[in-house]
Amino acid sequence: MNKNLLALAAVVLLAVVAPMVIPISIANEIIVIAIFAMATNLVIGVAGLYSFGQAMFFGAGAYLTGYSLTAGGLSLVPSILIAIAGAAALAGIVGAVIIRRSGFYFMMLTFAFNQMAFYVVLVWSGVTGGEDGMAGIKRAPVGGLDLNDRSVFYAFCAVLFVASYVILRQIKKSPLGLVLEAAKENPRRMASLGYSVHGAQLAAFMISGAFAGLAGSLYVLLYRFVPIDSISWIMSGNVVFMVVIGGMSSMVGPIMGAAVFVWLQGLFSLLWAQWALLFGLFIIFVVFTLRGGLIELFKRVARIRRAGEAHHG
Amino acid sequence: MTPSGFSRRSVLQALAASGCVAPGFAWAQAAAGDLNIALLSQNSGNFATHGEVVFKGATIALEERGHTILGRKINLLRRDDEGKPAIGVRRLTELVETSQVKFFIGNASSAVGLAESEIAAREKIVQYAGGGSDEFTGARCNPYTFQWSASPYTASSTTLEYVRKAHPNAKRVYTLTVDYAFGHSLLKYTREAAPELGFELAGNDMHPLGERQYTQYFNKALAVKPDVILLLTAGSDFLAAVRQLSSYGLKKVIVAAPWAAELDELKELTPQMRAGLILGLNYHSSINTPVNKAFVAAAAKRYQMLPTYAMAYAYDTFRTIFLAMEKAKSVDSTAVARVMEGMQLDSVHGPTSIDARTHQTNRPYYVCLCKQPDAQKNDQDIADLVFQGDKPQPAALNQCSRT
Repeated sequence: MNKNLLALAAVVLLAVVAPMVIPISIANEIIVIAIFAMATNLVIGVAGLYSFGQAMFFGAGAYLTGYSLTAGGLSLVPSILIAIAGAAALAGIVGAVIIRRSGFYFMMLTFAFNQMAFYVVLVWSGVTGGEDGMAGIKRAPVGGLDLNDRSVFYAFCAVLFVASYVILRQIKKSPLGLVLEAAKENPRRMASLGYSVHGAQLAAFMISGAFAGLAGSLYVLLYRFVPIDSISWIMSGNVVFMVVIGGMSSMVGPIMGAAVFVWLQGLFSLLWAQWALLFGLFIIFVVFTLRGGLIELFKRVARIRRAGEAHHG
Repeated sequence: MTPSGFSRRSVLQALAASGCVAPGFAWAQAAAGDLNIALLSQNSGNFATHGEVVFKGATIALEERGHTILGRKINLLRRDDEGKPAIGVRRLTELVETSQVKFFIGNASSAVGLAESEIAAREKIVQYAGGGSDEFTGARCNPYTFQWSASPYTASSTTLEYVRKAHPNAKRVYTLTVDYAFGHSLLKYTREAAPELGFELAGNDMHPLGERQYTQYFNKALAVKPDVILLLTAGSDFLAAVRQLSSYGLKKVIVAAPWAAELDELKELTPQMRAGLILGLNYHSSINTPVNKAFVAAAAKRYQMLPTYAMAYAYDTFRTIFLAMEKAKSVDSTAVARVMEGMQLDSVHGPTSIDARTHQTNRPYYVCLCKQPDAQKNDQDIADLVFQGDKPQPAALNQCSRT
């Protein structure tokens, strides 16, 4: 079977089966955060840009949706579109300033911009709610669909989740994705071949920002509340962990990373008050034993199976 | 769950609640007829110390009733919200969805509690909150959220009343305020109460939650020569501020905090650092009422410790909810909420009532004075209860639109 189709089938299966085996709110958070993780993988895994400021775009989407639905009085779809466009525009502005920096400097600049965005939200409390967050968000119906029904809202998010996977995977495999991956290995050679490396990286940064904005928007609709944590550097760090845990080699990796991260966080916090220690140990274990992330497990199993078949053949 | 480790039962319950096992089993923990109630508190974050103590208070309230109410077994579900509104909302949503929770207490953090109150209103779940923001009973009041802690107006005015009484010549007050709902409430009411008591507000600084460096604020404060520095902050922020204020070498300035920490938390400061500190409290173990005496005895027997605010909060709120259930002869959240409105009861504070419209628990507020190092008899002998007040929030200042 075609590998792409197999991966797509697995993603669809995950979206369908998840609410049947775990509480629907956890399943819903997993698919929403998975969109964020896939978006982050586009800049980290595909383009090799180590961004520690992705929460800036997730948070921008979250606050734009919250504001559009409450003070703005807009309906749901325009609010989501504003969140996507706003986050992409913010990524465009930030990216235009920092995209020519590389490595450690790029990482620190993304972190610095994230902190700036956080403090803007904190100080601008009249609009954002500051430390208390933004409340009073309602899920308006979309085309006759009552999104207050948990299952309907889950289905709505699941469709966007699968669509995000397909689009981001296609971008990874597109000429843009190939330029980004090649530039990750040797940017000078790509530039000398006539490719606009910085242009491609900026485009990836904006696309990633747009999908992070979509994830932020859905997150707000899920909990009907915008927490200030949504734009904090911790959120940026968490999504990088998700990508690392899941693996950067494909868009399925970040989905696995998001699923394990969200689910394990809940599980460990039920087990022990100092659960963060367990979580840290788990991340260390994955990094040391599965350097390619959890997706590496599947690859190892496939390799063993192929070796077995070759042996018998 | 054990506080320091795992038990087979806690692992199974955790796996079930997080949906690790087959759905049938995951939901089987809520046996037919059992009543699931929840406790959302912090085991990590700014109020991390509260988590374990709140659980102890809740346990005493349940043990008092043999873990049953109206013939139903009570299951106490405990979750860590990490002191973050997002996590609190997530955990409560899971509890409602998987365990059909209709009653919960939370939270010591106003930001978390207010975020949870949105779910309480939407899902018709009784919430008994313990944060310091006036929004629980004000602008964001709702039919299902109740407030156990005193109104921040009562807290500010009682603390300042004591400062006025103990220091008749004090005039200028400088405030340092944590920048979220809790701090905003205290500042708002300090601005109301201070002029009435003859104080002049010389200035204010806002600091973010989790601030660790306070000297820049003290530089500004000292420039205006205040008689009183009023710390409108709490938890580890408050402790860090007092520590740095002490290192600053201020001897003549009165330091007061209407709502900052439990006496137990003050052990993190040296006796020299806390000497002379004026501290407003929601609870003190020496309150001389029958309910409190019984509670103190139970805490001493069960945990060999004196109860603190967090423990009293959990005990008194669950006890009140159980009394309301008995009065309503029902565990239906709407029926119980209606009974709680205007309810009169004997609580740890003595005769107590719950405002029918705002859901504010009308009760006294307490002020303690931290002892000088040489006056302390032992490690527990930190402060004396020196004052008590119960001035309610003026109706004109309440923004609750419920009728």
